[in-house]
Amino acid sequence: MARDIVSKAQDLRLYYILPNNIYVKAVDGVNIEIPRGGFLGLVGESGSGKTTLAEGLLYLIDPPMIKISGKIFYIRKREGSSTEYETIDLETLPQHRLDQLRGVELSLIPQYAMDALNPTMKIGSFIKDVARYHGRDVDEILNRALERFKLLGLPSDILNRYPHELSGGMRQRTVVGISTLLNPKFLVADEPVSNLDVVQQHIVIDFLTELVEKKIVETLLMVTHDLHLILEKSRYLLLMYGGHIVETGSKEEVWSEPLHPYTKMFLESIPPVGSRIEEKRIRGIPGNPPDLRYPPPGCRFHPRCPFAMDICRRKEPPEIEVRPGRKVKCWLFVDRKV
Amino acid sequence: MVSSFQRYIINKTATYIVLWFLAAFLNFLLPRIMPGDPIGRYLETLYNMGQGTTGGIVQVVPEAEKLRQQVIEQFGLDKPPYTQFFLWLINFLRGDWGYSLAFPNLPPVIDLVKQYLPPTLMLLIPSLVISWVVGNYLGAYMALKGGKVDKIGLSSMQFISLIPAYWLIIVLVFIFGVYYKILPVSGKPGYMIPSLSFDYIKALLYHWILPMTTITLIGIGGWSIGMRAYVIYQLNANYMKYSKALGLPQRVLGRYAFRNAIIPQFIAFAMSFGGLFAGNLLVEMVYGYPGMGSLLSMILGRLDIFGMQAIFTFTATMILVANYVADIMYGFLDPRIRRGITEVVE
Repeated sequence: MARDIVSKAQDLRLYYILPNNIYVKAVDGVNIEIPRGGFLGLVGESGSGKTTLAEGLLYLIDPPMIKISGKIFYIRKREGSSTEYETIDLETLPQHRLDQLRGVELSLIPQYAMDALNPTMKIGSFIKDVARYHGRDVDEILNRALERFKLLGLPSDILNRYPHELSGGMRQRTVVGISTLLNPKFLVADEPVSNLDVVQQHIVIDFLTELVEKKIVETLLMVTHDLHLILEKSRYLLLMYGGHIVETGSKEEVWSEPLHPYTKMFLESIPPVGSRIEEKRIRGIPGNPPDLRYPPPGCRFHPRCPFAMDICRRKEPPEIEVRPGRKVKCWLFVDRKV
Repeated sequence: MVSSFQRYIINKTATYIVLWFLAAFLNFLLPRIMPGDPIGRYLETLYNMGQGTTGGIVQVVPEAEKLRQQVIEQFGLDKPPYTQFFLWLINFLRGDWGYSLAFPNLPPVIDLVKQYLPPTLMLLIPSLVISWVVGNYLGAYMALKGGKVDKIGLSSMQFISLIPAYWLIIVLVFIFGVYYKILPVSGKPGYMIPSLSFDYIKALLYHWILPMTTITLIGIGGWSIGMRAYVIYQLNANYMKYSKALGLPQRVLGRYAFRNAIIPQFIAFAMSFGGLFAGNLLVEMVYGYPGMGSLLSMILGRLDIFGMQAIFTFTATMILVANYVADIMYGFLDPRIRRGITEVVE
């Protein structure tokens, strides 16, 4: 039902076009429904299309990224109503209305947070612009920014600084603060702690967790390859491999009963917290992730899959809905459902 | 305690002083090792005053050799070269730029510059300012609009910027001077002597329109291509993607891009300023506009070594000053360099 879903993509294909007319099929036929509320995780190896999908869900599609097919919806409470929801097709929305949603309801902590800030603008001036063009009270937002920056462990003179006067970690935390400043309903955090040391990672994760717990941010979709973090925090997981969503489900379901062979091997590849190396052998997944310019036919995972059957090499597997919200894209489960 | 920005200024200053000496030395040396006989050429000019013939005075008149010795002594050309150089350099700095051999009455070079420089600056300063402003605006517009506007705009600007000025002015003269007869075909206000009188300035303005249009048009082409490239570079930067993700409207993104793209254009503007003092040789010559370009062509044609060394050194000085100012300006326009001001270096 609409009230349970915050974002939805149907048959989404997002390709990067390279100069010699080669396409990188970063997101290739994705159907997902992002459940509303809480801390969610989009997990996958590097180069599996996570960032592309994350930006796609916010309709941040700019060349060289192009949309080949599909629809992207954002679902929100109808204004002035407590029970009714409306589904917004982001593609058909006029640019100015899309701009009104961005930063306010839909927001992104980008992967490139290190250089996401205008080099010739003070942090404060940029925040003023953001507040002003969303029709907010500038002083109120600046005060809120100072409070939030304090929580993020940033110095109090930060508003008067230029980006180059901040360290990489400070810049990243600044971006975390700015992206959440207008209390977005749906926040996509793309590797928000990738460049931070452990202490700073904790600061940022605690900050985001608090925003979610206080319902300031309704839904947080964390994009990461850090399984530890995701298993600790998130309630729902989406696993991505080679431009496809291969499995979705609540954390407990995925953790206790992984369905897709990739998920199983992925979970086995990380050492459990507190284990000693002798106790459990860490197994990697043999082979390499697919080259998304020339993905293998059929299932993207079949060259590395120990259970690969003949049909896996020829035909793309369908998505099987095992239970509501619990999906897997694998031929192994086709007969189970029938 | 010297801040790194102060150190930067000191380094730059020292570099530019050395460069200036080098330029002055070359401007002193080159006219002298150039083939030709400057004194002979001057004597010819002197002899042919009012006769309308040229050539062969040195061979024809028996007193020529005596006269030549006299001139050489008078101008100190018999002194050792380094004495000549330093005497000249000191005098140059004191504002005594020597006497021009290009004219029989030996006018002081500085008076010639005072007379020919204003028309040149009147031509080139407005054309630089207008082409800079219009070019930047057009370039940014093309980059921000994209699509067809950009494609058509860029190719027309490339075409305009590559037109040779001497050709464009001939075409414009043909259209407006010959065919429609609304503008003069040549730049000299008749037989008037250059002065600062009202009539002269009025006549000059009338003759100013065509060369001004030519130089401005070509300038717009160049400036707009540069600005377009800088704006496109800014539009592809990550901070632009982020600003967009936060819902800042297109016009604000455009403003950010413009603000960051204009920095290098400011520097280029300051650097172009130095070149103005040499005049635009080709356009001035083709159109006969009485500016520095015309003066230079006379001085070169008549082998006036004193004029050359003074005017070239003057031009070099102005170019170096403009570059120096541009270098310093960079520090003030870009906060990443400006930061050095507050940073203390032991």
